[in-house]
Amino acid sequence: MGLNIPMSLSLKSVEGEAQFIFYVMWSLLIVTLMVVIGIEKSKLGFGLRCICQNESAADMIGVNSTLYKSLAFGFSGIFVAMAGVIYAGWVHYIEPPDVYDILYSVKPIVMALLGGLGSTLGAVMGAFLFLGIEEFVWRNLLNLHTGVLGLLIVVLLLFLPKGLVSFGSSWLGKRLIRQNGGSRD
Amino acid sequence: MENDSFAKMEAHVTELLKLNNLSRRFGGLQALENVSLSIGEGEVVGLIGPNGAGKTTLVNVITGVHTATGGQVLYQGKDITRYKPYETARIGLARTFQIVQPFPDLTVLDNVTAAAIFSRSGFSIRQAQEFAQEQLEFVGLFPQANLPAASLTLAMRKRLELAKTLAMRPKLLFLDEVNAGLNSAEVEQAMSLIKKIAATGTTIVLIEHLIKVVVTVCSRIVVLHNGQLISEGDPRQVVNDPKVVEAYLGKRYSQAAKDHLKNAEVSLD
Repeated sequence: MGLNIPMSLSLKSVEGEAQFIFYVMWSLLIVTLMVVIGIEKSKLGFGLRCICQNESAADMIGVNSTLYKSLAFGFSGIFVAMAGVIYAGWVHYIEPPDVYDILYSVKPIVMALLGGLGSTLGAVMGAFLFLGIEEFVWRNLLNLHTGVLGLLIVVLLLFLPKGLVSFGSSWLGKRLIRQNGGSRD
Repeated sequence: MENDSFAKMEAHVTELLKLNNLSRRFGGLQALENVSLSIGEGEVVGLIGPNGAGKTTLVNVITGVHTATGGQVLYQGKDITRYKPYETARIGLARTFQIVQPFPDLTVLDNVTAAAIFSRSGFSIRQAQEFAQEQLEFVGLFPQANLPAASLTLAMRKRLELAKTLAMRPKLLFLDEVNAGLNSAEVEQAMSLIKKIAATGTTIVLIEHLIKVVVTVCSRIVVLHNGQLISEGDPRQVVNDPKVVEAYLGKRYSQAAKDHLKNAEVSLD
Protein backbone atom coordinates (compact mmCIF):
# COMPACT_ATOMS: atom_id res chain seq x y z
CA MET A 1 0.00 0.00 0.00
CA GLY A 2 1.19 3.48 -0.64
CA LEU A 3 1.46 6.00 -3.38
CA ASN A 4 4.22 6.28 -5.95
CA ILE A 5 5.16 9.74 -7.05
CA PRO A 6 6.87 10.05 -10.43
CA MET A 7 10.37 11.47 -10.69
CA SER A 8 10.70 15.13 -11.41
CA LEU A 9 10.67 15.89 -15.11
CA SER A 10 13.91 17.64 -15.88
CA LEU A 11 16.13 16.61 -12.99
CA LYS A 12 17.84 13.45 -14.06
CA SER A 13 20.53 13.04 -11.43
CA VAL A 14 19.80 12.27 -7.79
CA GLU A 15 22.20 14.99 -6.74
CA GLY A 16 20.50 17.63 -8.84
CA GLU A 17 17.17 16.64 -7.40
CA ALA A 18 18.48 16.79 -3.84
CA GLN A 19 19.77 20.26 -4.48
CA PHE A 20 16.47 21.33 -6.00
CA ILE A 21 14.46 20.04 -3.05
CA PHE A 22 16.96 21.64 -0.67
CA TYR A 23 16.39 25.08 -2.16
CA VAL A 24 12.64 24.63 -2.41
CA MET A 25 12.45 23.70 1.27
CA TRP A 26 14.52 26.71 2.25
CA SER A 27 12.35 29.01 0.15
CA LEU A 28 9.28 27.59 1.86
CA LEU A 29 10.86 28.29 5.23
CA ILE A 30 11.54 31.89 4.25
CA VAL A 31 8.07 32.41 2.77
CA THR A 32 6.51 30.93 5.92
CA LEU A 33 8.62 33.13 8.12
CA MET A 34 7.68 36.22 6.16
CA VAL A 35 3.98 35.41 6.30
CA VAL A 36 4.14 34.71 10.03
CA ILE A 37 5.97 37.95 10.74
CA GLY A 38 3.42 39.73 8.55
CA ILE A 39 0.55 38.21 10.52
CA GLU A 40 2.23 39.06 13.81
CA LYS A 41 2.32 42.73 12.85
CA SER A 42 -1.16 42.80 11.33
CA LYS A 43 -4.56 43.27 12.86
CA LEU A 44 -5.02 39.51 12.73
CA GLY A 45 -1.93 38.94 14.88
CA PHE A 46 -3.03 41.60 17.34
CA GLY A 47 -6.46 40.03 17.61
CA LEU A 48 -5.01 36.57 18.13
CA ARG A 49 -2.83 37.85 20.95
CA CYS A 50 -5.94 39.35 22.58
CA ILE A 51 -7.87 36.08 22.18
CA CYS A 52 -4.93 34.17 23.63
CA GLN A 53 -4.97 36.26 26.77
CA ASN A 54 -8.67 36.71 27.38
CA GLU A 55 -11.20 35.50 24.90
CA SER A 56 -14.32 36.97 26.46
CA ALA A 57 -12.67 40.38 26.74
CA ALA A 58 -11.59 40.07 23.11
CA ASP A 59 -15.19 39.30 22.08
CA MET A 60 -16.38 42.31 24.00
CA ILE A 61 -14.14 44.79 22.18
CA GLY A 62 -15.26 43.52 18.79
CA VAL A 63 -12.84 40.74 17.87
CA ASN A 64 -14.60 38.05 15.84
CA SER A 65 -12.84 35.26 17.69
CA THR A 66 -14.44 32.40 15.78
CA LEU A 67 -13.22 33.82 12.47
CA TYR A 68 -9.79 34.65 13.85
CA LYS A 69 -9.27 31.24 15.37
CA SER A 70 -10.38 29.57 12.14
CA LEU A 71 -7.87 31.69 10.23
CA ALA A 72 -5.11 30.75 12.67
CA PHE A 73 -6.03 27.10 12.25
CA GLY A 74 -6.00 27.45 8.49
CA PHE A 75 -2.65 29.21 8.39
CA SER A 76 -1.12 26.61 10.67
CA GLY A 77 -2.17 23.94 8.17
CA ILE A 78 -1.23 25.62 4.89
CA PHE A 79 2.53 25.61 5.33
CA VAL A 80 2.74 22.14 6.78
CA ALA A 81 0.71 20.92 3.81
CA MET A 82 3.15 22.63 1.45
CA ALA A 83 6.08 21.03 3.22
CA GLY A 84 4.31 17.70 2.84
CA VAL A 85 4.00 18.19 -0.89
CA ILE A 86 7.71 18.90 -1.21
CA TYR A 87 8.55 15.98 1.04
CA ALA A 88 6.47 13.64 -1.08
CA GLY A 89 8.32 14.88 -4.16
CA TRP A 90 11.57 14.04 -2.44
CA VAL A 91 10.84 10.52 -1.18
CA HIS A 92 8.74 9.55 -4.26
CA TYR A 93 6.73 7.16 -2.21
CA ILE A 94 4.33 7.91 0.58
CA GLU A 95 2.58 5.51 2.83
CA PRO A 96 0.19 6.48 5.63
CA PRO A 97 2.07 4.88 8.56
CA ASP A 98 5.19 6.62 7.41
CA VAL A 99 3.86 10.18 7.42
CA TYR A 100 1.02 9.95 9.91
CA ASP A 101 3.43 9.17 12.71
CA ILE A 102 2.31 10.70 15.99
CA LEU A 103 5.82 12.08 16.42
CA TYR A 104 5.20 14.45 13.53
CA SER A 105 2.56 16.10 15.67
CA VAL A 106 4.60 16.10 18.84
CA LYS A 107 7.89 17.33 17.46
CA PRO A 108 6.68 20.77 16.28
CA ILE A 109 5.15 21.35 19.72
CA VAL A 110 8.44 20.49 21.39
CA MET A 111 10.23 22.81 18.97
CA ALA A 112 7.91 25.66 19.90
CA LEU A 113 8.24 24.89 23.61
CA LEU A 114 11.98 24.82 23.31
CA GLY A 115 12.15 28.18 21.57
CA GLY A 116 9.30 29.89 23.37
CA LEU A 117 5.53 29.78 22.87
CA GLY A 118 4.04 32.73 21.11
CA SER A 119 7.29 33.86 19.57
CA THR A 120 8.21 33.56 15.90
CA LEU A 121 11.91 33.80 16.56
CA GLY A 122 11.52 31.20 19.29
CA ALA A 123 9.84 28.74 16.94
CA VAL A 124 12.63 29.03 14.39
CA MET A 125 15.36 28.79 17.02
CA GLY A 126 13.60 25.90 18.67
CA ALA A 127 13.29 24.01 15.40
CA PHE A 128 16.99 24.29 14.61
CA LEU A 129 18.06 23.45 18.13
CA PHE A 130 15.68 20.54 18.31
CA LEU A 131 16.95 19.11 15.05
CA GLY A 132 20.51 19.44 16.36
CA ILE A 133 19.63 17.62 19.56
CA GLU A 134 17.66 14.99 17.70
CA GLU A 135 20.49 14.23 15.31
CA PHE A 136 22.89 13.96 18.20
CA VAL A 137 20.65 11.66 20.24
CA TRP A 138 19.73 9.62 17.21
CA ARG A 139 23.36 9.00 16.37
CA ASN A 140 24.52 8.18 19.88
CA LEU A 141 21.57 6.66 21.74
CA LEU A 142 19.41 5.09 19.06
CA ASN A 143 17.23 3.07 21.43
CA LEU A 144 16.65 5.84 23.90
CA HIS A 145 15.72 8.37 21.24
CA THR A 146 12.01 8.73 22.05
CA GLY A 147 12.69 8.55 25.78
CA VAL A 148 15.04 11.48 25.53
CA LEU A 149 12.37 13.37 23.62
CA GLY A 150 9.90 12.80 26.46
CA LEU A 151 12.45 13.83 29.03
CA LEU A 152 13.14 16.99 27.09
CA ILE A 153 9.43 17.91 27.13
CA VAL A 154 9.18 17.42 30.87
CA VAL A 155 12.33 19.38 31.61
CA LEU A 156 11.19 22.22 29.36
CA LEU A 157 7.75 22.50 30.92
CA LEU A 158 9.18 22.43 34.41
CA PHE A 159 12.13 24.74 34.09
CA LEU A 160 11.68 26.79 30.95
CA PRO A 161 7.93 27.17 30.32
CA LYS A 162 8.50 30.22 28.16
CA GLY A 163 11.36 28.71 26.18
CA LEU A 164 14.73 30.05 25.16
CA VAL A 165 13.42 33.49 24.22
CA SER A 166 12.43 34.12 27.84
CA PHE A 167 16.12 34.77 28.57
CA GLY A 168 16.10 37.55 26.02
CA SER A 169 12.72 39.03 26.92
CA SER A 170 13.28 39.20 30.67
CA TRP A 171 16.44 41.16 29.96
CA LEU A 172 14.57 43.45 27.57
CA GLY A 173 11.67 43.82 30.01
CA LYS A 174 13.90 44.99 32.82
CA ARG A 175 15.56 47.49 30.52
CA LEU A 176 12.21 48.91 29.40
CA ILE A 177 10.98 49.39 32.94
CA ARG A 178 14.23 51.17 33.81
CA GLN A 179 13.78 53.44 30.81
CA ASN A 180 10.30 54.40 31.95
CA GLY A 181 11.74 55.87 35.06
CA GLY A 182 10.99 52.81 37.15
CA SER A 183 7.53 54.10 37.98
CA ARG A 184 6.84 50.96 39.97
CA ASP A 185 9.58 51.63 42.54
CA MET B 1 -40.85 78.55 31.50
CA GLU B 2 -38.42 76.04 32.87
CA ASN B 3 -40.99 73.31 32.66
CA ASP B 4 -41.63 74.22 29.07
CA SER B 5 -38.01 73.78 27.95
CA PHE B 6 -37.86 70.57 29.89
CA ALA B 7 -40.89 69.25 28.03
CA LYS B 8 -39.26 70.18 24.73
CA MET B 9 -36.11 68.31 25.70
CA GLU B 10 -38.16 65.26 26.58
CA ALA B 11 -39.75 65.29 23.18
CA HIS B 12 -36.36 65.69 21.58
CA VAL B 13 -34.86 62.62 23.19
CA THR B 14 -34.78 59.74 20.74
CA GLU B 15 -34.96 56.19 21.88
CA LEU B 16 -31.62 54.39 21.76
CA LEU B 17 -32.39 51.06 23.34
CA LYS B 18 -35.68 49.30 23.84
CA LEU B 19 -36.27 46.00 25.59
CA ASN B 20 -39.52 44.20 24.88
CA ASN B 21 -40.44 41.53 27.44
CA LEU B 22 -36.85 40.33 27.57
CA SER B 23 -36.45 36.99 29.33
CA ARG B 24 -33.61 34.65 30.06
CA ARG B 25 -33.81 31.28 31.73
CA PHE B 26 -30.88 29.22 32.99
CA GLY B 27 -32.30 25.74 33.39
CA GLY B 28 -34.78 26.07 36.24
CA LEU B 29 -33.77 29.62 37.11
CA GLN B 30 -35.65 32.50 35.56
CA ALA B 31 -32.87 35.07 35.63
CA LEU B 32 -34.83 37.68 33.71
CA GLU B 33 -38.59 37.80 33.38
CA ASN B 34 -40.37 40.04 30.89
CA VAL B 35 -38.12 43.02 31.33
CA SER B 36 -39.36 45.96 29.28
CA LEU B 37 -37.37 49.13 29.32
CA SER B 38 -36.63 52.09 27.13
CA ILE B 39 -33.46 54.15 27.25
CA GLY B 40 -33.20 57.50 25.50
CA GLU B 41 -30.13 59.01 23.92
CA GLY B 42 -27.92 60.87 26.39
CA GLU B 43 -29.60 59.45 29.47
CA VAL B 44 -27.69 58.24 32.51
CA VAL B 45 -29.73 55.37 33.88
CA GLY B 46 -28.93 53.66 37.16
CA LEU B 47 -29.62 49.95 37.29
CA ILE B 48 -29.85 48.74 40.85
CA GLY B 49 -31.10 45.70 42.69
CA PRO B 50 -30.04 43.25 45.38
CA ASN B 51 -27.35 40.64 44.69
CA GLY B 52 -28.54 38.07 42.18
CA ALA B 53 -31.32 40.30 40.88
CA GLY B 54 -30.18 39.80 37.28
CA LYS B 55 -28.42 43.09 36.63
CA THR B 56 -25.33 41.59 35.06
CA THR B 57 -27.42 39.00 33.24
CA LEU B 58 -29.43 41.82 31.72
CA VAL B 59 -26.24 43.43 30.41
CA ASN B 60 -25.01 40.04 29.19
CA VAL B 61 -28.23 39.43 27.28
CA ILE B 62 -28.22 42.90 25.71
CA THR B 63 -24.57 42.67 24.64
CA GLY B 64 -25.01 39.13 23.30
CA VAL B 65 -22.93 37.17 25.79
CA HIS B 66 -26.09 35.20 26.57
CA THR B 67 -28.93 34.92 24.10
CA ALA B 68 -32.40 35.83 25.26
CA THR B 69 -34.84 32.97 25.73
CA GLY B 70 -37.69 35.36 25.06
CA GLY B 71 -38.39 38.92 24.05
CA GLN B 72 -36.55 41.42 21.97
CA VAL B 73 -33.69 43.90 22.14
CA LEU B 74 -34.05 46.88 19.84
CA TYR B 75 -31.13 49.22 19.32
CA GLN B 76 -31.84 52.34 17.27
CA GLY B 77 -34.96 50.57 16.10
CA LYS B 78 -33.05 47.53 14.89
CA ASP B 79 -33.55 44.05 16.31
CA ILE B 80 -30.22 42.98 17.82
CA THR B 81 -31.53 40.16 20.02
CA ARG B 82 -29.46 37.50 18.26
CA TYR B 83 -26.27 39.54 17.83
CA LYS B 84 -22.99 38.08 19.06
CA PRO B 85 -20.80 40.10 21.46
CA TYR B 86 -18.39 41.26 18.76
CA GLU B 87 -21.32 42.42 16.64
CA THR B 88 -22.87 44.46 19.42
CA ALA B 89 -19.42 45.93 20.11
CA ARG B 90 -19.19 47.09 16.50
CA ILE B 91 -22.51 48.92 16.53
CA GLY B 92 -21.66 51.00 19.57
CA LEU B 93 -22.44 49.01 22.70
CA ALA B 94 -19.58 48.84 25.17
CA ARG B 95 -19.37 47.45 28.66
CA THR B 96 -17.00 47.11 31.54
CA PHE B 97 -16.82 43.87 33.47
CA GLN B 98 -17.63 43.61 37.13
CA ILE B 99 -14.52 41.47 37.47
CA VAL B 100 -11.99 43.40 35.40
CA GLN B 101 -10.89 41.67 32.23
CA PRO B 102 -7.68 43.16 30.88
CA PHE B 103 -5.28 41.46 28.51
CA PRO B 104 -2.73 40.88 31.28
CA ASP B 105 0.48 40.59 29.27
CA LEU B 106 -0.24 43.42 26.85
CA THR B 107 0.79 46.91 27.87
CA VAL B 108 -1.88 49.31 29.09
CA LEU B 109 -1.61 51.20 25.81
CA ASP B 110 -2.00 48.03 23.72
CA ASN B 111 -5.07 47.06 25.76
CA VAL B 112 -6.77 50.29 24.81
CA THR B 113 -5.43 50.24 21.24
CA ALA B 114 -6.98 46.81 20.77
CA ALA B 115 -10.34 48.19 21.83
CA ALA B 116 -10.00 51.10 19.41
CA ILE B 117 -8.97 48.97 16.47
CA PHE B 118 -11.41 46.07 16.70
CA SER B 119 -14.55 47.92 17.72
CA ARG B 120 -14.86 49.99 14.56
CA SER B 121 -13.22 49.74 11.19
CA GLY B 122 -11.26 52.63 9.74
CA PHE B 123 -8.41 52.99 12.20
CA SER B 124 -4.87 52.12 11.23
CA ILE B 125 -2.77 50.73 14.06
CA ARG B 126 -1.01 54.07 14.47
CA GLN B 127 -4.24 56.09 14.52
CA ALA B 128 -5.67 53.64 17.02
CA GLN B 129 -2.63 54.11 19.23
CA GLU B 130 -2.97 57.88 19.16
CA PHE B 131 -6.66 57.62 19.97
CA ALA B 132 -5.86 55.17 22.77
CA GLN B 133 -3.36 57.61 24.23
CA GLU B 134 -6.05 60.29 24.39
CA GLN B 135 -8.32 57.91 26.29
CA LEU B 136 -5.52 57.06 28.71
CA GLU B 137 -4.96 60.74 29.36
CA PHE B 138 -8.68 61.16 29.95
CA VAL B 139 -8.82 58.49 32.65
CA GLY B 140 -5.42 59.46 34.05
CA LEU B 141 -3.48 56.34 33.16
CA PHE B 142 -1.03 57.95 30.76
CA PRO B 143 2.03 57.51 33.03
CA GLN B 144 1.37 53.77 33.14
CA ALA B 145 0.88 53.40 29.37
CA ASN B 146 3.87 51.14 28.82
CA LEU B 147 3.45 48.88 31.83
CA PRO B 148 1.85 45.46 31.44
CA ALA B 149 -1.82 45.56 32.48
CA ALA B 150 -1.20 42.84 35.07
CA SER B 151 0.97 45.23 37.07
CA LEU B 152 -1.83 47.74 37.73
CA THR B 153 -3.68 48.17 41.01
CA LEU B 154 -7.41 47.38 41.12
CA ALA B 155 -8.43 51.04 40.90
CA MET B 156 -6.15 51.48 37.91
CA ARG B 157 -7.52 48.34 36.26
CA LYS B 158 -11.03 49.72 36.62
CA ARG B 159 -9.88 52.90 34.93
CA LEU B 160 -8.24 50.78 32.25
CA GLU B 161 -11.59 49.09 31.67
CA LEU B 162 -13.14 52.52 31.30
CA ALA B 163 -10.44 53.64 28.86
CA LYS B 164 -11.00 50.48 26.82
CA THR B 165 -14.73 51.05 26.55
CA LEU B 166 -14.20 54.72 25.68
CA ALA B 167 -11.76 53.74 22.95
CA MET B 168 -14.64 51.84 21.37
CA ARG B 169 -16.42 55.16 20.80
CA PRO B 170 -19.61 53.78 22.32
CA LYS B 171 -23.08 55.21 21.96
CA LEU B 172 -24.32 53.14 24.86
CA LEU B 173 -22.02 52.34 27.74
CA PHE B 174 -22.73 49.76 30.44
CA LEU B 175 -20.68 50.29 33.58
CA ASP B 176 -20.92 47.18 35.72
CA GLU B 177 -19.98 48.09 39.28
CA VAL B 178 -17.00 50.25 38.40
CA ASN B 179 -16.86 51.36 42.03
CA ALA B 180 -16.88 47.93 43.66
CA GLY B 181 -13.75 47.36 45.69
CA LEU B 182 -12.58 50.96 45.53
CA ASN B 183 -11.93 53.18 48.52
CA SER B 184 -13.87 56.42 48.95
CA ALA B 185 -11.21 58.64 47.35
CA GLU B 186 -11.09 56.31 44.36
CA VAL B 187 -14.88 56.31 44.17
CA GLU B 188 -14.84 60.11 44.02
CA GLN B 189 -12.38 59.97 41.12
CA ALA B 190 -14.42 57.34 39.29
CA MET B 191 -17.59 59.39 39.80
CA SER B 192 -16.13 62.53 38.33
CA LEU B 193 -14.93 60.45 35.37
CA ILE B 194 -18.42 59.08 34.83
CA LYS B 195 -19.85 62.59 34.98
CA LYS B 196 -17.29 63.74 32.41
CA ILE B 197 -18.21 60.85 30.11
CA ALA B 198 -21.90 61.62 30.50
CA ALA B 199 -21.19 65.25 29.61
CA THR B 200 -19.87 64.15 26.22
CA GLY B 201 -23.35 62.88 25.39
CA THR B 202 -22.68 59.17 25.79
CA THR B 203 -25.67 57.24 27.07
CA ILE B 204 -24.75 55.37 30.22
CA VAL B 205 -26.31 52.51 32.12
CA LEU B 206 -24.73 52.40 35.53
CA ILE B 207 -24.94 49.25 37.60
CA GLU B 208 -24.11 50.25 41.10
CA HIS B 209 -24.51 49.28 44.71
CA LEU B 210 -23.57 52.62 46.20
CA ILE B 211 -26.89 54.45 46.35
CA LYS B 212 -25.13 57.78 46.92
CA VAL B 213 -23.39 57.43 43.57
CA VAL B 214 -26.57 56.45 41.75
CA VAL B 215 -28.59 59.30 43.18
CA THR B 216 -26.01 61.96 42.32
CA VAL B 217 -25.06 60.74 38.85
CA CYS B 218 -28.22 59.25 37.35
CA SER B 219 -31.22 60.99 35.86
CA ARG B 220 -33.37 57.87 36.22
CA ILE B 221 -33.21 54.64 38.18
CA VAL B 222 -34.43 51.19 37.26
CA VAL B 223 -34.73 48.51 39.93
CA LEU B 224 -34.46 44.79 39.23
CA HIS B 225 -35.48 42.16 41.74
CA ASN B 226 -35.55 38.42 41.03
CA GLY B 227 -35.25 39.15 37.34
CA GLN B 228 -38.24 41.51 37.26
CA LEU B 229 -38.46 45.25 36.95
CA ILE B 230 -40.08 46.45 40.17
CA SER B 231 -39.60 50.17 40.04
CA GLU B 232 -38.51 52.91 37.71
CA GLY B 233 -38.27 56.67 37.80
CA ASP B 234 -36.67 59.64 39.51
CA PRO B 235 -33.76 58.55 41.75
CA ARG B 236 -35.05 60.00 45.00
CA GLN B 237 -38.57 58.66 44.50
CA VAL B 238 -37.35 55.19 43.59
CA VAL B 239 -35.02 54.93 46.55
CA ASN B 240 -38.00 55.59 48.86
CA ASP B 241 -40.36 53.27 47.00
CA PRO B 242 -41.61 50.71 49.57
CA LYS B 243 -41.27 47.92 47.00
CA VAL B 244 -37.59 48.74 46.55
CA VAL B 245 -36.94 48.98 50.27
CA GLU B 246 -38.69 45.67 50.70
CA ALA B 247 -36.55 44.04 48.00
CA TYR B 248 -33.40 45.17 49.74
CA LEU B 249 -34.29 44.86 53.40
CA GLY B 250 -37.41 42.71 53.67
CA LYS B 251 -41.02 43.51 54.65
CA ARG B 252 -40.45 44.48 58.26
CA TYR B 253 -37.94 47.15 57.43
CA SER B 254 -39.98 48.46 54.54
CA GLN B 255 -42.86 49.04 57.02
CA ALA B 256 -40.44 50.71 59.43
CA ALA B 257 -39.13 52.88 56.62
CA LYS B 258 -42.69 53.92 55.72
CA ASP B 259 -43.38 54.96 59.28
CA HIS B 260 -40.08 56.77 59.39
CA LEU B 261 -40.95 58.66 56.19
CA LYS B 262 -44.35 59.64 57.52
CA ASN B 263 -42.72 60.99 60.65
CA ALA B 264 -40.18 62.85 58.55
CA GLU B 265 -42.95 64.47 56.50
CA VAL B 266 -44.74 65.48 59.64
CA SER B 267 -41.62 67.02 61.05
CA LEU B 268 -41.02 68.86 57.79
CA ASP B 269 -44.42 70.46 58.00
